[in-house]
Amino acid sequence: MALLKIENLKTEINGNQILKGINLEVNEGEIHAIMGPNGSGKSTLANVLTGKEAYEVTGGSIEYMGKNLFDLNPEQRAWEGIFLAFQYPVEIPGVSNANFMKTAINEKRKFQGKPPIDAMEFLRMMREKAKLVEIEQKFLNRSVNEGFSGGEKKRNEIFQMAMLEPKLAILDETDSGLDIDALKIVANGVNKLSKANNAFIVITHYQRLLDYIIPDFVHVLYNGRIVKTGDKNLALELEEKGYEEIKQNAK
Amino acid sequence: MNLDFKNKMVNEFVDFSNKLNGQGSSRIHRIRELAFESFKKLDIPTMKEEEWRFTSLNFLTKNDFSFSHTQTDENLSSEDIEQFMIKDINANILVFINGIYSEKLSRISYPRDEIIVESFSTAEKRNAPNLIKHFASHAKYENNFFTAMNSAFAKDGVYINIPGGVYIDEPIHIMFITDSRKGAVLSNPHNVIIVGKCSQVKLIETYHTIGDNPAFTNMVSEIILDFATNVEFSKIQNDKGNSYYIGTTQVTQAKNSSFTSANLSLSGKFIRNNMTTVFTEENAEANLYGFYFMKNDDFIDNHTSIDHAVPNCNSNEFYKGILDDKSKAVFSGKVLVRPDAQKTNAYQTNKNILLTDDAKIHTKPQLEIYADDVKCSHGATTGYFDKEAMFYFKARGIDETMAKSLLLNAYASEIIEKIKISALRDDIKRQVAERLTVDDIYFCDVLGDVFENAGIKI
Repeated sequence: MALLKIENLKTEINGNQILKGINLEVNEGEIHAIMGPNGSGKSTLANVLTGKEAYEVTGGSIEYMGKNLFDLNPEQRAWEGIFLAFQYPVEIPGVSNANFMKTAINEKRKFQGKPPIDAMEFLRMMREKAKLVEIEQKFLNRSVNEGFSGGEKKRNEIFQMAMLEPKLAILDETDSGLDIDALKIVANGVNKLSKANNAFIVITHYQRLLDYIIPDFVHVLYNGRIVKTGDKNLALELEEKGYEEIKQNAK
Repeated sequence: MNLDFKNKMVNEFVDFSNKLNGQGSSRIHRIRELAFESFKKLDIPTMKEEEWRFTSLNFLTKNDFSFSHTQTDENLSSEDIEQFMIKDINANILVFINGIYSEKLSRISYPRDEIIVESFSTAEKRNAPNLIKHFASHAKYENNFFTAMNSAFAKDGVYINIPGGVYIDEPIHIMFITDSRKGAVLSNPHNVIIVGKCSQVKLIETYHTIGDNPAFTNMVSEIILDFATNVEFSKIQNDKGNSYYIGTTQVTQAKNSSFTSANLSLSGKFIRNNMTTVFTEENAEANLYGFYFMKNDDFIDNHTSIDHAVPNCNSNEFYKGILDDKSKAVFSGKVLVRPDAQKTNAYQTNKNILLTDDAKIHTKPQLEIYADDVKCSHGATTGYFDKEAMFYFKARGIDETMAKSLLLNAYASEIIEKIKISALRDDIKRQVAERLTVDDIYFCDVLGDVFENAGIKI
């Protein structure tokens, strides 16, 4: 059974059709990259998977672990192991990173019928994962993303991913705005988290990140459709030639 | 019942004066008599007046308040008032029952004679010159019904006179308790607090009710700051009884002085806070913070007034509210920048979150700016929750109810954090968190304890 099966997905926002029939299958242990020019629908796909309301699904289906994904609200999708690393993470003044994570973990455990996480265990976990993304421990008591640079916010997303141990992680242009050092830290985090029983969808505009996170599949999204699929070499090809050829062929 | 409240009080004055036991001829009483003359000429404000546009004073005519002017702490013990104490605080506590000082229930410990912390009536008996000088000279009674009434009937309250160069570490907690077990009670406590040059003091004011009958506290506090004086004033309002509170805090600030006020209101059937400060000399600063978290049929009216009478002063007002159920709040922030008050910085913000469709806020800035080289701004927002933040929570598995709880706590903590007295701050945090708790949320402070107990430094 595929972990994620998207069939002929069509979506609209404010009356405009964005996704025009997406087909995608992701299995456990796989890393899929989705590339494409701006406006092709990459972020839309990420948001539809997490259940953001503004996006109206007008056709097709999404099956996640054999379940109809549309039956689950965003919280339930998170409890079932879906994680989105946001492109523009929001600041939440007054709510600490520690508090945010502890609440998220405990809500998931409640759903799983487990008791709340032990305080010492939580503390140990936080220190371990903070090391993974090279974040200082004093950041844990700071408010979520408050006063963080763009790069720090993205690293915080990976930290949260490490804490929540998702089954399907979606990275929405996590590499945008990062310098090479931050990029390497993010990639290292993802690679350490990648296991045989989880999967990643890495949405990116540039090929650069894929030098460090080696994808099993590369899909090109253009004008709401996946127009080409290949392996990691496709990414290198795009780097060389740009999106022009793709756009020409799609016409 | 339709009683003429004012006439009743006018008639009370004679009886009050006669029962003063010798103080009837004191200098202080001369001032009370003058205030009474003004009181006779004034009427209960109606909703046609700008300052009372959203605030009904019907309760004055609907209840038969008896004005208490004798010692009434015989029926109360320390155990009775334990519930009102702030946990784990090391403070000097002055307790007043129905406006009269109770030595029995109070705890003052000042080893130094020159620091005066005593009751108003004690100071009056010894004709304290500074009490005579300052009583009713800052909070003007000529045109103010409630200030006139208070000053006419002011028999007791707190009198604090701190000399220059003194830093008082322990806060001074002034606690007003109304014992309304036997009937409706009205009290008029008057506080005069004088703080000397370069001195620092922290004050806490609270009021509570024991008993089910209505309790009306009409309080006036005059706080006088000298050169480079620093005063932190925390007013906590959390009375769940049948209580009505009108409180005027009138502050005068000299050169380089700093006044910070944190007014936190968590419960109250009827509250009207008048917070006023006047800069009489340059380079002074005032920070007025407020947080109100009302529910059921609670009503709170926060009126503030800052007078930039001289140049080079800074004022900052930041009031936030959360209104639940059918509660109602009023915020009116007056800032006056006089023609010569150049280089003034005056900022004012009022934010509100309404949790229901029935909750109401009337918010009104009143900026009168007559100088031209100034920086002033005001802003008011009323809203619900940030959608982007809510989705971020949901995407992480935190549902709307839990998210609101975390967000409201965060919203409240911005003001609660302004309280520098840690025992008081923690007490308020706990109370607010309890009201917002869904299941078991462990807040950051708890986590801090865990780290500490494990000997781990963050």
